[in-house]
Amino acid sequence: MMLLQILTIPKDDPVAFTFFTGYMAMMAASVFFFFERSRVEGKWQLSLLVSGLITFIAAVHYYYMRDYYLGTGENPTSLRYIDWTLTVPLMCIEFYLLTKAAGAKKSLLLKLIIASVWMLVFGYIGEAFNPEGGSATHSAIYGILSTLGYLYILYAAWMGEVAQLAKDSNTPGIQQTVRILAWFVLVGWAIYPIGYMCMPGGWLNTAFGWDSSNVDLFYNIADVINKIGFGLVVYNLAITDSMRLKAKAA
Amino acid sequence: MKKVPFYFIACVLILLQLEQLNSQVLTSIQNAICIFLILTLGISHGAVDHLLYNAQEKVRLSKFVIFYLIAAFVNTMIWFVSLDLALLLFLCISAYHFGQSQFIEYSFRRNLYSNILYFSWGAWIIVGLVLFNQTEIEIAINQQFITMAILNHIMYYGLHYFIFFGLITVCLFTLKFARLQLSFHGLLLEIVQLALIFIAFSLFSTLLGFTLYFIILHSFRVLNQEFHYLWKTLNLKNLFQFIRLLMPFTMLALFGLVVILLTWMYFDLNISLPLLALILISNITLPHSYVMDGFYHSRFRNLSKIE
Repeated sequence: MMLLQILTIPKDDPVAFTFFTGYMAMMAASVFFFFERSRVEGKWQLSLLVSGLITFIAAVHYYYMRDYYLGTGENPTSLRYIDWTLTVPLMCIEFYLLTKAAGAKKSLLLKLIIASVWMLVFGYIGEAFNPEGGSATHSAIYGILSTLGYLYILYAAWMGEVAQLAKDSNTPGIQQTVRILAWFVLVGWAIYPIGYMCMPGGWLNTAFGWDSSNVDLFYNIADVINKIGFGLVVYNLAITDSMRLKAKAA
Repeated sequence: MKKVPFYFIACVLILLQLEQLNSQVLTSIQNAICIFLILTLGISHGAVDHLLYNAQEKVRLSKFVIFYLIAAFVNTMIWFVSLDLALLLFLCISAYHFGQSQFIEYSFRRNLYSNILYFSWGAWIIVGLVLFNQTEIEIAINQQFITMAILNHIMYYGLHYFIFFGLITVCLFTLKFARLQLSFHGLLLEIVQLALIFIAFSLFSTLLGFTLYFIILHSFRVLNQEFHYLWKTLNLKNLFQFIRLLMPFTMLALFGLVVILLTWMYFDLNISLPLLALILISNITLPHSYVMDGFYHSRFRNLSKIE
């Protein structure tokens, strides 16, 4: 009986629809990345494993978030942040793996992971522990702290260490891939701070007259694009490079 | 991405979070910081015009100062003759100058299309500022009892002008990119920048939105261009030497501003403060735009790409 209730998706509820679609898309992407992993050269297999893990972890979380949302009608904030705390550092690992051949050090990996965890922990405190009715001061302070973490990753990807390493790699494929991933960080990840300002009581809702349920819609669409897109960009580089190497060897 | 757009993105994101506070105290502090930045960085980006003018034609400093003063005097006269004509002139020249400084690093060939692109980009920005802050500007105008038909016209037909200049800019810009085979990545960055400018205009107050654009995307960019030019021509060794070059005319401009304000207060001149500010800003802007146009034309293309 409980299961039947949970599985009912209202036709006029885009949030529930995107939870279900997001779950299926992430799962399908995971299967794709895990299977394709064997087709690429050894040096790219770890990158594809990480891509598959990102979408698989997200798929599992989306499975639970969908049920949680359909059962309670509330935002599954905690589950979402648990998902991000695992998957966003993994996305940062992709930057490290891509630039490793050009000399990326473990310190870069550590800095990116710290920045991503910083961004998410403060975002979580800002969103989940906001006093009843919504405190603007609380939202603003944790919002700014979280944004600083995001800006560090943005800086690293566009102008900092990651960008420099990609340039030094002298490999057009890596340069192009890092550039596309940097675009994901700039445009795709920007949805998250916007979503943060659209939570119940958020000022963007007031400014644009939006409903706070939009937060989940924004997050779901952004998650699917960012996570699967990130993986596909890495896959494209891996498969192109592998095919090139195979052709060279033949 | 270069540093200037990154600073702009960072500032917009931080300020968006701060805006949640919606506090009067914060707004007052923000306004004070905006005015301070306009008076310091904004004014100083035109403080080495005499050195830039030398790039096209060698003139004595005294002669250059006289040229500047005459231009300011003529401009002031236009304001007294017709507010609308003066405002239109000011807006058109500012629009061209904004667009030119934005695109000059792409080294477009100087022709009619480039000039139209510069003008339409700048006009798009100015119309956007007015359109997205219509209520605030209307209240300010009503409080000061200023009647300017041009401003009312822009506000009334704001959306039409916004779409018109937007279409021209996008078409010419895309054509330029396709013709010069510039990277798609550069085109996208320009679009993101524009989107953020309009988001800032729409979500922040008029002063804050304008300051963010004017200081970071315009003044910083121009100061950067000036620094690189003078670094090569005058063999500057560090940033401090450049700041020393900026100081005399920045201080002189600020001193002049204080004298004019004191005169305005003491003699109780029959002119509102916003209008006085507009006249003073236009007096600096017009000769500055002329000098920068010559500077860009004669020298900029010879310099290496600016980082």
